[in-house]
Amino acid sequence: MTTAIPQHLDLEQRLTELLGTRDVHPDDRAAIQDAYMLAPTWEQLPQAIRDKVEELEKLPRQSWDDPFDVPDQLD
Amino acid sequence: MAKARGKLSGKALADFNAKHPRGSGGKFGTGGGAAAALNLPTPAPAVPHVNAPSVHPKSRAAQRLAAATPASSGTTTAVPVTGRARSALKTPTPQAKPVAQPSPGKPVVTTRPSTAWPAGTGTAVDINGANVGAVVLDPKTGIWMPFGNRVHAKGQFKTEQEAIDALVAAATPRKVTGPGLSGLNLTEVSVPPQSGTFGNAKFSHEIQSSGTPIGTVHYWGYGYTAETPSGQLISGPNGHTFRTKSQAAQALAAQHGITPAAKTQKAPAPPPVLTVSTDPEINAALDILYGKDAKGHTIARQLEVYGGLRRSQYDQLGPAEKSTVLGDLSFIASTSKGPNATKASKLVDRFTPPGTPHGQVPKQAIHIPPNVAVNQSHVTDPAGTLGLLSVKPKSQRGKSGDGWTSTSSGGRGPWGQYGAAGLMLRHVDANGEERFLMVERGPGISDPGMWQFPGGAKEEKETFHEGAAREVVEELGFQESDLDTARVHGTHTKEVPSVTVPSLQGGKVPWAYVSIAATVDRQLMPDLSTPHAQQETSDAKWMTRAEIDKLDTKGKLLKPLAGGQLQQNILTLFPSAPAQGVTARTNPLKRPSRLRGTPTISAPKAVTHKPSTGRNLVSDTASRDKLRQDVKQARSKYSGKVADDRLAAIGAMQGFDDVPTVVTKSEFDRLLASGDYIEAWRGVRGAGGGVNQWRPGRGGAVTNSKTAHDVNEEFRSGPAYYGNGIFGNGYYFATDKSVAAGYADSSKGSLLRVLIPKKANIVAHSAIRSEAQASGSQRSKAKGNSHETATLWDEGRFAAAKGHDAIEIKSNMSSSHVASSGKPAFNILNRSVLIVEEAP
Repeated sequence: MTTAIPQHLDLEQRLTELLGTRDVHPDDRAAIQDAYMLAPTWEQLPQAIRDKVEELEKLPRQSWDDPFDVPDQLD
Repeated sequence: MAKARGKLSGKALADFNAKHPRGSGGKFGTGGGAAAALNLPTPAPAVPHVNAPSVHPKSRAAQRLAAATPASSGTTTAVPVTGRARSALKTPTPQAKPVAQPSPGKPVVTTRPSTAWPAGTGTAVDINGANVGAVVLDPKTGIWMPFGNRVHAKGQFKTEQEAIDALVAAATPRKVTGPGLSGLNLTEVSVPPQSGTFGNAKFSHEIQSSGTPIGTVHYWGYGYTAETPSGQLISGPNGHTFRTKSQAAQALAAQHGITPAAKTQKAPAPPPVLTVSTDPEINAALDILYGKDAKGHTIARQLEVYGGLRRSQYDQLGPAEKSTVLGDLSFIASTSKGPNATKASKLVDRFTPPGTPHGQVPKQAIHIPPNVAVNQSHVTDPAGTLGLLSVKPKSQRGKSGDGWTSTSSGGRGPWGQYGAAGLMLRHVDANGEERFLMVERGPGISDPGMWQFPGGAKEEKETFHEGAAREVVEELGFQESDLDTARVHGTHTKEVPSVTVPSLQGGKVPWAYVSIAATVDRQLMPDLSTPHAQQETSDAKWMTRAEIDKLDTKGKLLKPLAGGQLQQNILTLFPSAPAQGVTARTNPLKRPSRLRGTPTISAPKAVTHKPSTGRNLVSDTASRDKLRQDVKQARSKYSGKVADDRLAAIGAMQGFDDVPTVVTKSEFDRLLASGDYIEAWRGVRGAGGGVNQWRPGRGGAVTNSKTAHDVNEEFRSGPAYYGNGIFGNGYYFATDKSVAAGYADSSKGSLLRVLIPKKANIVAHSAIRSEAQASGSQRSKAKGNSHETATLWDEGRFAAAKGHDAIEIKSNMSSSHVASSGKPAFNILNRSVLIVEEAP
C-alpha cells in the first residue's frame, strides 16, 4: 500500500535534504529556516526563498543518509 | 678547595674552567656526545661536590644569587620548588634550605656534576635528594637535553637551565583533571612512551594516587589506553580506546576502587543480594527454574513467563538462572515448529547481547546458494590453537610470490605464484559481541574499493599460515607479536585445478587460496599510514556479521567472497560466541534440569546520567582553523559509515559518540519524577514502515534494511550515527509525543523515550545560529565550495564543536513541525548524557 506524502512532510524532507546534506552558508540557512517556520508547505514559501532553495539544491552533497551512497573520492 | 661550580654554561662555564682547572671537586670540560644519552647517569656519585642554585648564570636571579651566595662558601644550597618549577628556580633564595631538611611538601631541587658523562657535559638533577635524571650537553651543537631516569623529559634547549627546568617539570607530579576526576586527587608524570602494543605511543603518563602508581595511560594519536602496573590493558567503551585521558585515568582509578565516594567519608554500601525478589515477573521465572511451578515444564508456560521478562529483569538473574532460561528457550526453538519456535527464538535474541550469533536458529540476511563450500575443513577446535600465526624472517621466505599465474591453457590465472592466504580475525567483547576485521582494497591493487579480509600472495617457503600472518602485519601495520594470542579455529581452502604452482614440500600442486579463521583477544588497531598499507588498504574496520551482510547486499564484497560465500565458507569456521556470563548451550535438544537451592538475584543498580564531556574547540580564530584542519583529516575515517562524516569527527573528538545510559521503565519514571530531566521522544520509520513510499530509494533517517526497532536500539547501544536536519545535523527529539509519533511507523519500538538532563550543556538554536552566522560571515560565500570552510556552517557541527550537548529548537508553529508551541524539540549532539528507556 502506498502512502501519500503529507504536504508539510514533503517540504520538511526537501529542506532536510538541502540543509542537512549541502554546505549552505549560515545566512542562507537562517533565511530558509525562518521562512520554513512561517510556511509549512512549499507553496506557502515566498518566491524568493523557493528560488534560493532551487539554486542551492544544485550544490554538491556533503553528507548522505545511506553511507553506501557516499562517493569513493571526496575532495 | 671546593668551588661553587653548580650550574654554569656558555661563557660563564669557560670563565670558571679557566680559573679552576679540573680536580677532584669538579667534572667540567667537553667530550662525549648525545649518543651516550641512553646510558643515564646513576644517582649520587661519591664525588665531593658543591651544589649551587639552579639558575641561569646570566639571569638577574643569578646575579642576585651570586651576591647572596659566596662563591667559596662550600655549603650545599638548594632551591625549594613550588608550583611551576622554572619560576621558582629563578627566585633568589635567602631562605634556601639544605637538602637534608626540605620544607614539608615542597620538593627541593639540587644539581651536581654527573659521573656518568664525559666531564663537563652531564649534570645530575636531584629532587629531595633522589636523582631524577640528568641534563646533557651535546658539545657539537651546544644543545642541552634532559634525560629522566624514570620520567620522560623531552626537548632540546639552548641553555642548561632550560633543560633542567624541563626535567624538573617532567618529574614533578601534576594533578590530573577532567570530567569524572573531581575528588580523586590523581597525579601524573610523563614516562617513556610505550612501544609495541599498538605501535608507538605519542606519549605515556603514569597515573598516581597519593604518590602510588596505579597504572599508565598511553596516547596513540587516535585515542587512549589504560594499563595497570601489572600490564593488564583496560578497554574503553565498546572495547575501543578511550576518547580522553581523564576517561582512561578514571578507569584506572576504578580498577583500584578509587572513586569520589570512596575518597569522601561515605563508604560504598555492598550491593545487596536479595534472596526473595519483590518483582512478580522475576519470581514467576524463578518458580519455573526451580521446579516450583506446577506447569513450569510446559512450553506454553515457559514462553508466557520468560516472554514477560524484560532484559533488565533477566540481567538480575544469576549465571545459572540465565543459562537455564536460555537452555529452555533453545530447547523450544530447536524442537518446536511454528509460532512457539519463532517466539523462543526471539526471546533468545532478547536475552543475548546484540550481535550474538543465534546458535540453533541462526539468522542469515544473505541467501546462501547451495554447494558453495569447497574443501572446507571442519571446525574441530572451537577453543582455538595458539602459536600458528607467526611471521617467518624475510631471509627464510624464499622468492616473493607477487605475480600473476598462468592457467594450463595459457590464460592468466589468479594472483600469487605460490598460492595465496588470508586471515579473518574475530574479536568477541565482554558482552559477547563479535566483530571481524575487514579491509577495503586500496588504490594500488586490483578491485579498489571492494572489501575483504586481509591477505595476499604467499612467498616461496612460507606456509599458508605464515603467509597470512605476514600479509596482515604488512597491510595493517601490526606488530608481529600482535598475533601471538590469536587462536586459530580452522581453515577453508579453495583450489583452482587449472593452475599449478610449486609446493612447499616439492613438486606441483593446484593453486589454492587458504582462508584462516582466528580469534584475537583485543581489537587490534590498524595503522594505515605505512606506504605498504596506503597502497593496498584504503580502510579497515571491525565489523559485525550484520555489517558484513550489508556489504554483500550492496555488492561491496570482493567477488570470491560475495553472494554469501564469505558467510558460508569462512564465518562458519568460528564457534558461536557465548553470551556474557552464561555457559553456551552445547546440546539444545536436551532440556536443562531444574535448579536447586535458594534463588538469588542481583539488586537493580542505581543509575544516573553520564557527565558532559564537550569542550569549546573553537574559542578563537586559531582554534577554529585548527579544528577545520583536524576535521578535514579525520572525516575520511567516517566516510561511508555515517551520514555526516564531519559531525561524526567532531562528535568523536568530544566523546559524544559514547552510548547513553539505558534504564528500565520504572527507573526511567523515577528519574523523570525527580524534576531533573526533560522527557522527549524520537520516532523513526524502518524497513516495512512505509518509508520507501515517503522517500523513494532512501531510508529516511535509517537504511532500508533496518526496522525502526533496530534503529532505536542502535541509538541505545550501537555506533553513533547522526542524521540530517533542517536546524543542524544530529539526533532529533520532540518533547511533544504526538509530534514524534508522526515520524514513527506503527511497529513496536519505533518510538524511543529519553530523558535529557536539565544540567546538560544545552544551547538555544537562535543563539547558536547567530554565532554560526557571525563565524560564517568572516568567510566569503564564494568559498562555499570549500568543505573545510563550511565545517562550521551547520548549526549541529558548530554547536558540537563548542561543546554543547544539545540544541533546543522552539517554535510557535503547529505540530506540523518538529517543535510545536510550548513544546520544544531538541537536536541531540551528545547522546551519552541521555537516559534512555530500554527496548520494549
